[in-house]
Amino acid sequence: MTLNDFLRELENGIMQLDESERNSRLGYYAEMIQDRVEDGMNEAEAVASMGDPAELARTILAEQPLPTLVKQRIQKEKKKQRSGSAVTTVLAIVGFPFWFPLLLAFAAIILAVDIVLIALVIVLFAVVLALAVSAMAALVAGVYMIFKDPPLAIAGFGAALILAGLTVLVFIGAKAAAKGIFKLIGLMWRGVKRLIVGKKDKNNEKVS
Amino acid sequence: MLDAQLKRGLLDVCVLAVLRRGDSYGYQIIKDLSGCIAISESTLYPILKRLEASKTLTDYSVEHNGRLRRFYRITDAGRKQLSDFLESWSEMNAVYEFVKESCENDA
Repeated sequence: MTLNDFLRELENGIMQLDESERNSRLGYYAEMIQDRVEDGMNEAEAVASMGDPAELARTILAEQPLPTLVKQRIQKEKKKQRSGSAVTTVLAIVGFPFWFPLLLAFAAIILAVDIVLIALVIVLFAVVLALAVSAMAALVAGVYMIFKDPPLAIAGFGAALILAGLTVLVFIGAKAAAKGIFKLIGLMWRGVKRLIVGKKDKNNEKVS
Repeated sequence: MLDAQLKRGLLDVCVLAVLRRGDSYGYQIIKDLSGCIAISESTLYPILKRLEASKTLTDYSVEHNGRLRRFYRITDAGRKQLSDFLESWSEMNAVYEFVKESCENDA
C-alpha cells in the first residue's frame, strides 16, 4: 500500500470529523510515514507499520466523546439522504419512526443499568456505614452499662467487636465491588461507542 | 503492568521531558522515548493534543524536504508540570522505599 492509498483510506474512515481535525490527523500520519521513509524504511513497510487504516479510523472515532459521535452519525445520515438513491432516502424516512425510538430506548436501557449498578454501590456503602454506627452504639452502650450491669456491658463490648470486624470485611468487599462496577460501566460505554463507530462504518465504506 | 490512568499521566510528563531538552517533532519524540517507554504513533497523537489543550506545549510548522514538519515546544506551564511531577514523585519514592524495606526485612 502506498502513502496515498493509506491516507485516502484513513480519510474515508474519519469523514465525520470536522475538516480541521481530519486534516490534522492526516498530516500527522503523513509526516510519520515520511519520516520513517527518510530514516531508511521503504514506503510499503512504513505504511504497514501504522496498521490497517480502516481499523485506525475506527479507533480515532471511538476516542471522540459520545455526544459528538451521535451528532456526527445524524449529520452523516442526513448527508446520505441528500446524496443517496431514492430508495435509501425513502427507507430512511419511512424507517425513522422505527429506528429513532429504538436508538433512544437502547440508550435509556444502558443508562438505567448504570443507575442500578451505581445504586448497588451506594447500598453496599450504606451497609458499611450502618455496621460502623451499630458497632459504635454497642460500644457506647457497653460503657454506659459497665457499672450498672457488668455482664450486659461485656456482651455489648463483644457485639461492638463483632460489628467492627464485619464493618471492615464488608468495606473491603464493597470497595472491590465498586471498582469492578465502575470498570464495567466504562467498558459498556466503550462498547456502545464501538457499536456506533465500528459496524456502521463498514457499511458506509461499501456505499462510497 | 502499569495502571492505564497512571501510564497516561507518565506519558504526558515523558513527552514534556523530551521537549525540555529542545523542540522536537513526532517521529523524533517516539525515538527519544523508546529507551524509556514504548509508545506508538496513535498513542502519541492524543497526548500531544491533550498537552496542547492544557497549554503545556505549543506547535509550529517547519519546511523540511519540500514538506511540512510539525514541531512542538514546551511552555512555562509545561516546565512547571515537570517540576510538580518531580516533587510529587519524591514523595512517592519515600513510600516506595518504606514498602521495599519492610518487604526485604521479611525475606
